[in-house]
Amino acid sequence: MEMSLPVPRPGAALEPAELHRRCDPGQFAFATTAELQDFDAVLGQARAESAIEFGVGMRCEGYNLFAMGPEGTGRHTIVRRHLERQASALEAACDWCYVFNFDTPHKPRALRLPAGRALAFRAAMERLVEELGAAIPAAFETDEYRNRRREIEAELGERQEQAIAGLGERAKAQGIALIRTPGGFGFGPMGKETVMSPEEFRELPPAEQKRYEELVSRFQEEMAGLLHEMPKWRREALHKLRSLNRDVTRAALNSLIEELKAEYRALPQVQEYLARVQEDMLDHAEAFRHTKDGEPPLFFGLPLPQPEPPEPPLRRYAVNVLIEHAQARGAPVIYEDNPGHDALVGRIEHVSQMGALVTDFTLIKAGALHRANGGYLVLDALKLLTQPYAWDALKRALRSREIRTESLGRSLGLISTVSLEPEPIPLEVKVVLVGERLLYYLLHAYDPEFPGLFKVAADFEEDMPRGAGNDLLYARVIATFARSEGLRPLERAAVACVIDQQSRDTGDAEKVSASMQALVDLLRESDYWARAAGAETIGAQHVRRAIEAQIGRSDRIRQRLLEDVLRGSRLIDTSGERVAQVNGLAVVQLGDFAFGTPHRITARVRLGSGRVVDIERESELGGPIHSKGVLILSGFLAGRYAANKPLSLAASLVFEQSYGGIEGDSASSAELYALLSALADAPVRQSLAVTGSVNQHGDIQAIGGANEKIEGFFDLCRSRGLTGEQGVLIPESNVKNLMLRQDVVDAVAQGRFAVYPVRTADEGIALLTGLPADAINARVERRLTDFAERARTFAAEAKKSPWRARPPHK
Amino acid sequence: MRVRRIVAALHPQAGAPADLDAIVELARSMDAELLGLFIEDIALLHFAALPFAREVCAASAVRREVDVAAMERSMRNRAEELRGELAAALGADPLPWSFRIARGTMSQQLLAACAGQPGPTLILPPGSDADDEPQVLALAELNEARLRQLLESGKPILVLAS
Repeated sequence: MEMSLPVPRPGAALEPAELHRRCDPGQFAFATTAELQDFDAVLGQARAESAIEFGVGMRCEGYNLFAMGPEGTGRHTIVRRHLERQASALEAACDWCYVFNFDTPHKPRALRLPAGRALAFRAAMERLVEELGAAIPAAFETDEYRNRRREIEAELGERQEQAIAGLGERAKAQGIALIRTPGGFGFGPMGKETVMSPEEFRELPPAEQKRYEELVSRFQEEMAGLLHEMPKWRREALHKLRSLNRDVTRAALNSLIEELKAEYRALPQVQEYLARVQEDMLDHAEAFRHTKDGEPPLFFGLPLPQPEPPEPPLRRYAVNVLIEHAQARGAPVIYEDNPGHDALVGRIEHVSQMGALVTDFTLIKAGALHRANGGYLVLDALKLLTQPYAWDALKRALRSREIRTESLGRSLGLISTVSLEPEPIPLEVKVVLVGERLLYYLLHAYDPEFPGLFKVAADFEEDMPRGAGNDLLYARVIATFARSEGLRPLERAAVACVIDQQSRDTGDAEKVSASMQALVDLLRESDYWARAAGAETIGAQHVRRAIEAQIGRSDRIRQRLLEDVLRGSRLIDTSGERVAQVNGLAVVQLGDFAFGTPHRITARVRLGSGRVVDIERESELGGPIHSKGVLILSGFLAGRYAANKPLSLAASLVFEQSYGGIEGDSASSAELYALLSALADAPVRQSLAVTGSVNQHGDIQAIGGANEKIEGFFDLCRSRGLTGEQGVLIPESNVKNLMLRQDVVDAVAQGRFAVYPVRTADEGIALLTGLPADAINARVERRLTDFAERARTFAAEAKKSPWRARPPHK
Repeated sequence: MRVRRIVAALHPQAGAPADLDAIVELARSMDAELLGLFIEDIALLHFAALPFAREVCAASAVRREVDVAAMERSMRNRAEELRGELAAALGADPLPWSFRIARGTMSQQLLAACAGQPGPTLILPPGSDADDEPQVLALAELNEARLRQLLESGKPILVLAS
């Protein structure tokens, strides 16, 4: 039987002023933000700033930073600002070059030069090579060189000819002729002028023939011995020629390279390199002499042996400027947006030659660690961790304090093409990782190297306290962004509206959001609507329009859910009373939009073993926190109503028409009210909705999303028509979180809607049933006592004649 | 006086390759007909026909047996090489030229090449420097013994027409 319940005492409901803490535009002395000065400091991040300052200032190993906090709180901006300030006070970092290693060509050498000198050094080396390209050929074109070379060639020729002629003379003395054949030399018996004809030879006596044969054989052996000697003579001559070439080259080279050495006197590493260049150029003067392709220089008709480098001859004297800081003021601050393995440690490129991939030291390219060496490197933690092998490479570099450029394919053994092992470059860098808190805690827990490498955590706040002073500072932040983004100035009412919205985003009337990204987005969108309206300044109406448009773009699902209720598909009552049925409230988060929606919660009770069944849990639709909330109800019931007797209750609780997952304990008070209503057989007002969790003592505890939940029920009630009896029960401890929409506040002010703060379950059940809590508690206790007695009776009967022992009917 | 004809004597021996570019340049400058005369030296064939003929290889100092067929083959190959090189040195030059192979002694074959020529002939012995001052004699004075004597100096020989 339905009966009309008294409306809850109006004094128990919250006043409109308690539902929304408005930022008062009257507190601002400015008309628009154009009058405000920029605010360069960071608002509300004192802890993070202090940590960054400490981390940046500590020059010890391992004091790298992890700037953690939610997206949009200005982590990158703040970190960069601090780093740039610190970096500007430091000296510019050194330049680094890779040069050819004359001892082991596949291990290019790294040269450190003072900031800004690498390019000049490269140009000086290019000039040296260019000048030698003219000076060396000129030196080899001189008559002096040609004469000395001819002398050496002639000396060798004469030596060979004389040796052969001498042998020919001795043979001739023995009657043997020396003859030059197409392939070499031959000996035969001498006839009238030259070799005897075969006919003449056959006419000789056998003994004579035999003698000639032996003599010929002997001279052949001598000739072979002579020919064996000739390569040695040729080597001696080549040695003389090489010595001559070195002398000539040295004369051309020395003045030029000594000049260069003097220029770099203060840099021993460069001095040493130039000495090696000098030595190498003496041996490779041919490279400067522009011989035709495929035509090696000849010596006595034979090609001269040349040291053939695999790379183009003069490329070995090139200087690969890996990193230079000619224009730098202070130490580098680098942000690498795509922190892959190669982007961090550099890469070794290859070029295709005749179908093969080849490389040399000029193809080594710098990575972010090279660019940041001597300064600071900022990386996004998530991007870094999602790039294969990048995290390992960064840790390796920080641990070993050197940058080892190595092809990833090669280090993994995937590619076996010709590659390089460049000399590692000493690393002195401070790395700042920017990421979510979860990443920091996961890395701390699971990566043993992480705590040692990232010793400083800068924890960014999501919000900051509100107050008159902070509101003005916040207004200056808004003014700064409006200017830097090229937006219209905001009127002070608009500023107040923005602050209200930023406070609403935190879900706390005493806080304001530190999410600068959300703030900038709201300002930009407000500016859009101001422009659309042809306004010169951004007014409060434009900010409100921007907020409404943001919601309007995202609330399709909310509208569909509301429509389902209004059309009767989802059963939610907003009037009347019913036993064991309570309107609970849930928050749905879709992307960055959250909204509240009512759910019908029902309870059934019967005699049982003291268990409250959570149907959501049994059907695996409820999460562990929700189950915990339901289990607490058993504790509350047993503790309050059945302290001295068994709790002989079986109850079931369900979110009706819920087909997705339910998580959280914010509905546990609603579930308790449904149970108490069922046990007391007391109807519950359906014009009220409930949120709040409950503990074992029956205290109502704070929950999240209070604003969205109240507005969710309000929207439904308004759609059906506000009666003045409708309202929401919230935990009293959530009152400070209330930043409700203006239409809700207006409805409360007009007495058409109410929000009730509740401290205990007794207060809540009294509001819902219209009966004093004591009356409800007495009914519940009676019902439970009845269940306990019935249970005892059943148990006694069962003991007397246990049904299991009965013989079967025949 | 204009040299009508240049006879470049070419032989199959190893070492001291003929400077064909210089020879061609000389012929071009004199606007003379060029004859490349490759002489298959009879002495080489006699040597190869000996029962114990061995060649000591200039490059490797290895001794290897030779016979007449191998020697002829070797000389043919060398002649072909020289013909190709001469053609390459001449290129597309319209200079009248020819290449001939003759067997015998150097002096005999050069004498035969000069005989009956109407104008002056310049003989370039193997390995001679084309720019050297030539030894001059009249065709009527030319005989084998004289020619052999002149060839020994290794200098060009200018044979004037009678």
